[in-house]
Amino acid sequence: MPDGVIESGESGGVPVFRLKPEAVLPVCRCLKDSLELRFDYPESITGVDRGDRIELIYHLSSLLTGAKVILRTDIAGDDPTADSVVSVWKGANWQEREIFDLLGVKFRNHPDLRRILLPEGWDGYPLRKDYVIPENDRHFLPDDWSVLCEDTEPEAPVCVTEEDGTVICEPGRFRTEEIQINMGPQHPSTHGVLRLLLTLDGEIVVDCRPDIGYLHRGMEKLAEMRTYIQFIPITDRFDYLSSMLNNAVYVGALEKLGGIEVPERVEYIRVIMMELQRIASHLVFYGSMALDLGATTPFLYAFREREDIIDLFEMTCGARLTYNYFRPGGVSRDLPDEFVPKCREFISKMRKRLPEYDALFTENEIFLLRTRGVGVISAEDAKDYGMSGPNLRGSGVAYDVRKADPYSIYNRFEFDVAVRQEGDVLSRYLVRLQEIRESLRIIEQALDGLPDGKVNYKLPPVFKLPEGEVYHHIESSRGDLGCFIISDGSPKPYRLKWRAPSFISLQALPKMVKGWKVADVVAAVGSLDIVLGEVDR
Amino acid sequence: MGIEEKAAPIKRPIDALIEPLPGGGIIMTSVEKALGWAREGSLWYMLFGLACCAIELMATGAARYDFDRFGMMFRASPRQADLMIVAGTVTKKMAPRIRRLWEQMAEPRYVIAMGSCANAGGPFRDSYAVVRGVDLVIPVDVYLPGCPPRPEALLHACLEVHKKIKAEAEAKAKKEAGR
Repeated sequence: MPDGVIESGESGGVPVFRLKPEAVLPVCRCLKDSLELRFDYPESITGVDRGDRIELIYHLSSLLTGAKVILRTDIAGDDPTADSVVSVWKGANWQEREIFDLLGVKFRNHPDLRRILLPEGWDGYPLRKDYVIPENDRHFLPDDWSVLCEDTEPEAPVCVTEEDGTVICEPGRFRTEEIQINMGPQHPSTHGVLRLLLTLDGEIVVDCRPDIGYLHRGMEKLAEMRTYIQFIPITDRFDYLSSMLNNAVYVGALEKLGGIEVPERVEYIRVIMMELQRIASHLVFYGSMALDLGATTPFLYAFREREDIIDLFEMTCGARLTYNYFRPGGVSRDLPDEFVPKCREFISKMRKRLPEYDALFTENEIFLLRTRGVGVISAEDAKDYGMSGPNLRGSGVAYDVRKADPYSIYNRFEFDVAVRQEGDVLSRYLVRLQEIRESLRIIEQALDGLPDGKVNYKLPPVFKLPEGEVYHHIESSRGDLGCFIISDGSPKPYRLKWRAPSFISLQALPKMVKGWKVADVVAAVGSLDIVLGEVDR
Repeated sequence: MGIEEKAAPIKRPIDALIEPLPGGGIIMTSVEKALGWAREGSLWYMLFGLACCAIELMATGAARYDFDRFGMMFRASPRQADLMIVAGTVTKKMAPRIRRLWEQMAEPRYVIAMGSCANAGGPFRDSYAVVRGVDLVIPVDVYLPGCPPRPEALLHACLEVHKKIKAEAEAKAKKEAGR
């Protein structure tokens, strides 16, 4: 370690170094480049308003060795400025833009420092402690709708440069010219309110710029305004296709910091729920990916199976989509008697139908032509962008948090990590289909081992956590889902940060689609399986 | 008896609009009533999901709940849609886009505010980035509470829109007749 370390310690078994602001960039470069350390994975970068200063916290890890490290630095002053680490990891790009957007930290040498989640022209930085939430219902809405906000993107050049260097601007002459088209925020295959600005040469994509934030609901700020227990229902709405997994990471973080023990039966119930949720989420991926590529039948099939899973959830916790099921040290209610036989019935049904589903895609010539070799991302790039989950495993990196950093009781079950080497759309699809099979295996083992016992933990009237901080991460259906909580001992979190896997994976989209056709953009977006609720938070 | 006896005629919704003439072969109705009937029976909604509720919207369109039996199909373009289902949280960044989409729809157009967020901001009402109800942006015909509403509730909301279309058509026909 170079000079610049102010103090070192450890937190939850992970070494922590407090650095001088100017030492962050050289230390990061050293951590990544040194052969024995190889911190190749920018897991999460968090900014925290500490009143008089802004603290940046870097959670870094190495996918090769499994080592972890936390770097912290303080930036003082009215105009806080830090060095950008995008030159070290490309995946830091959007994370730093988010800190700029919500906390107002400027990053030197950042390639594209603009607001990312909030619209241009927004006043103030919401995650600062002194930010006043606008009371006016019409805040930021135009008084006169006839003047709609025009897009602030620069227009495509009208003039073109010929091969010999001359610039031609005369109209009417036969020439080719790049055009910009706007895909989204209302578009059937952007899976929500994603906007892509595509620069096209004919039908070839020259440039792709994702514009996100159309579903930014300010949940991290809401967390600071609610008690720990009140925030559980909000976590359902981050990634609304895998609400159970969101519950799990948040409640897991609370339990880790509070030192709350979880009964055996609860652990088993949680694993069953999490894996059922993973299957449900992958089924939506399967259906919507098929819709994107022009097939309707798989969508209807996938939703039929998904309804069976939702019936299981509904009989357990009463909700179809937002379950609010996990509690610190327990779950909201026990499994009903008919759950286990129904669940077993579902497993055998799903096993029987999966080959049929698979055949619909993988034996379909059109589907193979649309996906094989399209939207390739190499393992190196995928790690550099901080991608995770099936998207990373589709590129040949066998990183699964359930195996690499086991949480709950996953070390008791036998399952394989699905990996494909190609890194294209097809491999990401195949990884997810394999994961459905593995999840069925896990559920079966958990049902076999399900013990009797209590499921409820009596919460105190005011649930508080000790002062401190915790970072907990799990393998969600979209990847490495992390939750970072800083507690000051009060009933509300001081700062909550969500490490959203889709947000970070989406950064790699331009890299995937450059040089491909517009129709392949649709396939690539579908294969990333993003959920905008999690991208925008 | 026997072969000549006719089975009781099947009652169809259109029969209420038709005045049979002696001899048959001709039906009479008012233009307004016929248009209303057609609109009600083929209410196409815009494929437009904002947040969590959009998943329930998709589930409603899928096999178990089957939107199609009410003649409702999704259209990806606002130009071809009659109904906008605002399914999810409306943020301040998205509000102008929603307004523009609504203005691109041909009249008569209808809006369902699906879920608590579209009604009034829902659990995110006190957030800095969320619009407290889509009625601050566009006029709403049916408010559907729930977080998220069940598919049955969404079907009910659509049937309410059907009722509204029918009532509008009948009122207009009456006005024309009274002239």
